[in-house]
Amino acid sequence: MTHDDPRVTAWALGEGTAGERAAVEAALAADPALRAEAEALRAAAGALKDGLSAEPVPALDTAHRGALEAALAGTPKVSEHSPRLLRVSPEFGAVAATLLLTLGLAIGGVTGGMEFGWQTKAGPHSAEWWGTQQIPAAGVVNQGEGEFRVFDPGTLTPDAGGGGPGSITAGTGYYTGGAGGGGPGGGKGGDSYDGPSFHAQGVGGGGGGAGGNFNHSSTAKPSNLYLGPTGEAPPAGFTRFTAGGGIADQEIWIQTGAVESVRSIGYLADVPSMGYKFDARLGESTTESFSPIVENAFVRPSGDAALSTFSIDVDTAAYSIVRRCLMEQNRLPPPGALRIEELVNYFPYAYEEPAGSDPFAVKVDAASCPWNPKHRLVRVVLQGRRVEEPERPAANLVFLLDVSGSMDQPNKLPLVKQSIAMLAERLTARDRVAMVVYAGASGLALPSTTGDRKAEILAALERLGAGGSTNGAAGIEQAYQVASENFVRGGIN
Amino acid sequence: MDAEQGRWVRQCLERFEGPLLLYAEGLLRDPHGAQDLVQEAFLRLLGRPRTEVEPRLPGWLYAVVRNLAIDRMRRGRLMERAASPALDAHPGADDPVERAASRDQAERAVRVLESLPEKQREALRLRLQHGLAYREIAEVMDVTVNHVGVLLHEGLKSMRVRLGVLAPAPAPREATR
Repeated sequence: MTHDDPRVTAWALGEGTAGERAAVEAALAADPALRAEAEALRAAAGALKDGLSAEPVPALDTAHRGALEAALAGTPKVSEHSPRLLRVSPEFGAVAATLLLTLGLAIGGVTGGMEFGWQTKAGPHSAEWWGTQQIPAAGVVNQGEGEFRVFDPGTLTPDAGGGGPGSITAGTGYYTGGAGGGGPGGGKGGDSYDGPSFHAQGVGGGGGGAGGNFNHSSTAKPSNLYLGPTGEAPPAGFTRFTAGGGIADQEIWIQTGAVESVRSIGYLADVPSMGYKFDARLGESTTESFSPIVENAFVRPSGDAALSTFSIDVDTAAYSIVRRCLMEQNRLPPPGALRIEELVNYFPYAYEEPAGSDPFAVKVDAASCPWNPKHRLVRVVLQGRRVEEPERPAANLVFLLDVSGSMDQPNKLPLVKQSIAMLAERLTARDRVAMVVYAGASGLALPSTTGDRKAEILAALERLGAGGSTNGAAGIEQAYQVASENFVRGGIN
Repeated sequence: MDAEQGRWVRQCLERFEGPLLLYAEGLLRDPHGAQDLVQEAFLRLLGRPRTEVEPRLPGWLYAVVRNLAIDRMRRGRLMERAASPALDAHPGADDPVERAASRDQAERAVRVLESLPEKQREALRLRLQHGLAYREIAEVMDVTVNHVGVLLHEGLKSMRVRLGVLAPAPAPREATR
């Protein structure tokens, strides 16, 4: 036994069966240096133990203790650490304010994020949220994960199963014996914490019984996030999101307006629990705190510092967001979503094209600055050469569309369909277009079709409907497969 | 819910409230968060049949607290993560003046503990402060029993070296045969 054997430490810590300790002691007796080491370890452990025992033992404070006492007495009490509800839609806000006052919750300083508490609703599976989900300020995608586990937490009602009677099937030239009748089935689901698989299977001859039912018996907590069974209406004030990726028959119900989108970003299949991760984007919040927007200082035009770069790729999404916020939602857009360059670039301008073979033309204008007479505004314009339709190479387009429930809003899937329809109008027989959808199942909504068969393309578009949960990975694979099958040499793929 | 369950959980509360809070604070570095975790752990205990959980106490409670802590820390509460040894190095343990000044090894031992790697620190606390067996520690930390042994071994070795513990003088050697 060397000095580096963990068994020496185990002995020093008092661990091990009598036999194990005897073995170590024999080794120690034979090797005085080892014995010295072991004694030193024991002394160190003793010192540490003494030091640790001097640490003051904390106790639960009144708030937490109170919540437990209430639970012990059988009346679930709302803990003070329920999710801090941010203002959502005006009518919900009023309700929330009343609710909060009634329950005597303190709304602490809101730091620009939101916490969700979960509740489960018994369904095909039950789930429990481990902890709370912190959603950061509006406009920021939560990079962390929300995770919950699906499991059977304890009380189960196993179903008695029953197999069917056996039957004899006439085969070709010989008989196949039928299955025997099944015995009672059912079984206990696994423990959420460390048990085996929670899906019970009946055992019987021929037929098996149905698996056990699941029941969740957690103490109710106030929550703004539910896991509910598909097909059931969410409670009032909640919006349904389907964010699957493993649990095809469950939906997430989230307080209306609290979260803009939920999508699964992974799938855990971890017997005995299943879970998935989601990220959520906070939709509305009136108390968000944004990092201050710092304006660049003025720079002398001479010297190295006078360099400005920008991307040629023209995004215009911010304009749509601003328009939607102001016109439809009657609120100011979140500052983080606002990009001035996108507002400017949204509109079509009839700029001059480049002459000759130049790829783009640059034009500079200057004008007085309306809000500051001492300043001048300079507009620098880049216009690329427009490619005429006949010059455009043949295109092999595959659209990968997310048609999950979260796309149901009018500014999402219907808009996408409209856009694709507009594009389809411009395609010719040289082009090919296909559509792969991913939602509850991924599938080929439109096999690769030449661009002149517009009726087929538009019909396939019409058939697309939002619904189901998202299965992005399979969709992407399928889309790539369709694209490569119809690869156009020298074309746009 | 039945009174029997309530009584039993109350007993558990009395026995384990303090140690669990100590443990949770060690994981989270946030006494307030620790309160949340421990409260949640007991609420879950309440929801379990006694026969199922009782044989697995106290490890079961520690494990629940630990998992809750991991979830909490994973969700970006970086400021509250247990300090890394580099940040938390306590000067003083090796300072000769300090060593001379503070004869209290117990105090120094705790300071040295704080500078050990996170898992070793946790294993040592679970063993020496909470009195869990190797098997229980393995369950709580979700590692093998062997690994627990290694963690404790490494940790205690470092502890011994940093404390400069002198072993008691060995007994005079007996003549060998």
